[in-house]
Amino acid sequence: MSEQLRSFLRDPAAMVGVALVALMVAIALAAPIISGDPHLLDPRMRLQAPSSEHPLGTDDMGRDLWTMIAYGAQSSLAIAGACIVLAIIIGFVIGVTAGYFKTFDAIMMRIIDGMMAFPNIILVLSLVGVLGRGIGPLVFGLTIVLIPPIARVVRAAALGVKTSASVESARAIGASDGWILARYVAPESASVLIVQATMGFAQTVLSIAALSFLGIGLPPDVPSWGATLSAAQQYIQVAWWIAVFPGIAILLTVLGLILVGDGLRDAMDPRARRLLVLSKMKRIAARAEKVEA
Amino acid sequence: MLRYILGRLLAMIPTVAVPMVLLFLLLRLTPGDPAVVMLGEDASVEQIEALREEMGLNEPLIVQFVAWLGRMATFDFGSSIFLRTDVSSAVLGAAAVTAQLAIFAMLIAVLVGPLLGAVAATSRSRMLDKAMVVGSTVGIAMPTFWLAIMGILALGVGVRIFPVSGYVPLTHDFWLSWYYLALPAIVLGVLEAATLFRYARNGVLDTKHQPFVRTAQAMGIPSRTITGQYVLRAALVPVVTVIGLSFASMLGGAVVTEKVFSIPGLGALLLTAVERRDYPLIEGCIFFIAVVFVVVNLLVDIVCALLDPRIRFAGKD
Repeated sequence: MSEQLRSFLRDPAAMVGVALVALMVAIALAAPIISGDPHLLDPRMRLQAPSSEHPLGTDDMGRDLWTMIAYGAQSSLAIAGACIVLAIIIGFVIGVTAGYFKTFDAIMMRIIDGMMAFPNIILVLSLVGVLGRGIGPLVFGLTIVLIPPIARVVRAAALGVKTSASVESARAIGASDGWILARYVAPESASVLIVQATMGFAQTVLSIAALSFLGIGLPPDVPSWGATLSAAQQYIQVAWWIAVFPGIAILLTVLGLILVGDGLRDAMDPRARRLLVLSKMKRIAARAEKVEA
Repeated sequence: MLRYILGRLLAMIPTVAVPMVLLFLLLRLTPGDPAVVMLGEDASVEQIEALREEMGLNEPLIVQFVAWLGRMATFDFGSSIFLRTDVSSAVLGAAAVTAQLAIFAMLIAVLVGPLLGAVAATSRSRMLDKAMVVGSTVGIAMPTFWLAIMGILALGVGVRIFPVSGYVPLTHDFWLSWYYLALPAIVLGVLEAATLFRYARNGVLDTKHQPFVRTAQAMGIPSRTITGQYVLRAALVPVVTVIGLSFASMLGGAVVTEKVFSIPGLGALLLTAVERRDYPLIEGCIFFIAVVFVVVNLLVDIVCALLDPRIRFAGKD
């Protein structure tokens, strides 16, 4: 077992994150088994408070809130996952190409800096505004804002590897570009990439929720946490449960992902690890002082 | 210093250019006639043709692009289809409201975040530090609109201290205007403070163990002076940089916050533009947001250069 993995497994906050993410993934996968029909509208059962029949109550259309949350986990995790996979593939290609070709690099890095600086959700919003609503434009917009940081990380790895002695010797014995990419660039960038991907995942889940809340995210017939919350505001005086539970679902998912991402970064980045050691040293010093006093 | 500022300004051009060019290309290269989308299905052929002519959609792409560049350079965004007014005046009017909200929220964030971060990093209580770190992580994971809704739930249904919806213009009643923005600003500000807290805490922890601090200690300078003057000053540089980024996320947060609290700001205007697919209005909003963003970041860079002389000289070679 590598030192990084061990350090990750020993980080209690990261383990809480792993548990939260695992829980949400399990709820998403098991949604058809553990909950009811998300399209079942029952006007007689509107705005019911939590009860044994509806553990989290019902929404303004009489749908079971627990069912909506379980299926909401499915839609938001699936779409965010698709965006991340797409962004990693495209970002990897852009990053590697930029690492190898100087002119492309100069242009691409300017574009990437420009995009990274811009507020994400506003960019996605305007792209959806131009392209129209629907899952396609949503995935397009969310993926586009995920690409720049990923491309940056891969480019840095490619640049570092390019000049290394091992690559030079690999070239000398006739290694192809593809082999060098797979053997040196990919592993070199993988560790940073996985942190970026986790953080990007968290950010995308938040964006999907916010856009659905604004009514321009997922189509109305797809259950989503954000859309449920936008109905909640209207009925806030009479049905607090619609406002509370979907938000907790978002918070736990994003919190889990951020804790995992933090844990991964601390485990892989020696600088961050040093900070961890420093705060530990501080604690030991504080304890020692207490003993003296 | 002037060269440094000019260099930074040049480097920020893509921040405005990239989103704008992206919007330009997407609007024209994706299938479907923008004129039809904007006017709706029941518009007459003459109306659509007139709008196509007005937008220059009949010209070749490169001609359109040159004309578009000229209009952007002269800040001419045309008129909004839906609002039937000049885009520039609509954007500026809404931006004033968002500026008021953002300044209020930023003030809360800057007062709360770095202060708590420094307290956590220098505190001898492990529990206090831990609790604050957990709090800030939850803050970072918190969806802005959900905290806003929870705020309304707590204040609107429970204790009624602040108004939970609406906006009063500054010119109408100065103090009432700020009072109405209090809850939205607290929501935005507290969440931003969570990010600033992290940077401040890490910055102080990191700086405390730098060689120059040890030197100062060896010279017998009192530890309060070291922490108060040397460590905090050096640790603040990254925090100031993050404030520039915070401003971006705050503009993003403003879209949902303005929606929740019915504040007629830039975010709400952009949302209307997107809902109505009012292209000139989208273009105007994005251009304005990008320019403001560049200016804020430039100011941040200048403040950083003033705080840390090394940055000023780094650009010289």
